[in-house]
Amino acid sequence: MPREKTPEINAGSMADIAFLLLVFFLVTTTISTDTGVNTVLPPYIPPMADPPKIERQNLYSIKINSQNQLLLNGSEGQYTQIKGNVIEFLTNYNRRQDYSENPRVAVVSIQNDNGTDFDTYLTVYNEVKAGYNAVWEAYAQKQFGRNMANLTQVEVDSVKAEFPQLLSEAEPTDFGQETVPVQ
Amino acid sequence: MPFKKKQKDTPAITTASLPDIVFMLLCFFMVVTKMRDAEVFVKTNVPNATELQKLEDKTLLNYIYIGSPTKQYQEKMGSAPRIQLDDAFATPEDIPVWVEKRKINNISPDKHGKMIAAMRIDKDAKMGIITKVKTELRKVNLRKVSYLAGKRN
Repeated sequence: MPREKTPEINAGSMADIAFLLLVFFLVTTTISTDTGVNTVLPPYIPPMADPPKIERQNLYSIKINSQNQLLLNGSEGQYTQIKGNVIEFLTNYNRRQDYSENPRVAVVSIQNDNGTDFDTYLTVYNEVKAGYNAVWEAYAQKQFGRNMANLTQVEVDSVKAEFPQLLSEAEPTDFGQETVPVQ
Repeated sequence: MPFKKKQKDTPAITTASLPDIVFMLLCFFMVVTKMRDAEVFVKTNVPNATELQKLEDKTLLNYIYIGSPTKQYQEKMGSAPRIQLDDAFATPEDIPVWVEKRKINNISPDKHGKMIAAMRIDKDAKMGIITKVKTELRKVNLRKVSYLAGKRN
């Protein structure tokens, strides 16, 4: 009986297939990078130093209490109002008596309580930042006809000189560190 | 042995491509695996935000975890939010020393000015402890802070 020989499987293309798979995974896999809301804290000043005086008109104050309720410039509000208010406050140029005279001196102040949830604080901070970003973006479009992302460093600096991000974080109040939620 | 049939020998499967496959798997896992240098003892369920920036350069990041301890540590540490630096629980007062240590051991001198405190803070943590941490960071002039957050839709 003659020995029947099965033909060998050609493995020459195996490497190609492997490479193809490798490339596929390389392309589709995204390495997870952390994302965050960036901020720069103010320099440390010992508590004795006198706080700088700011005119009431040039201050947009946001207060958050330990129940995560908001007080926007003295009246109760929701976090969704903040972005619009900040934009209006910064670009007011003396139109309204209770908003800033000039964006260069306009200060947004956030004061929270020690019992405020971080979630609420970050949401508020995020909205304020969104307000600034929107103002910058609009100014960049008007002045240079381009997005903030496409400006040179000098141009970015000029935008931020016109609308400086003056964000003050007042010492937190301390009413609600140990609060128990009301049933 | 008249009964034994002559065995037909099966052709050997070529193993020439096996190294390729193994290399491919190796590469795949190298790319996907995210190195965690610290075991996390606290629950950090980060909040969501819209104004997010990517933290590209991992060598600049200094992770500070704040949240309530996970189940296995609750007995010892209680359930109130705590701070974790590297792989140990810490108090806000430990932060200055920790930052200086990081500067010596982990971050090259030319990058000291660009260091970022990556704060992975639980949604439900209270601002009291966070303010203390911020004050300590300001004292050692590590003022670039990033609150880690997910994307809000």
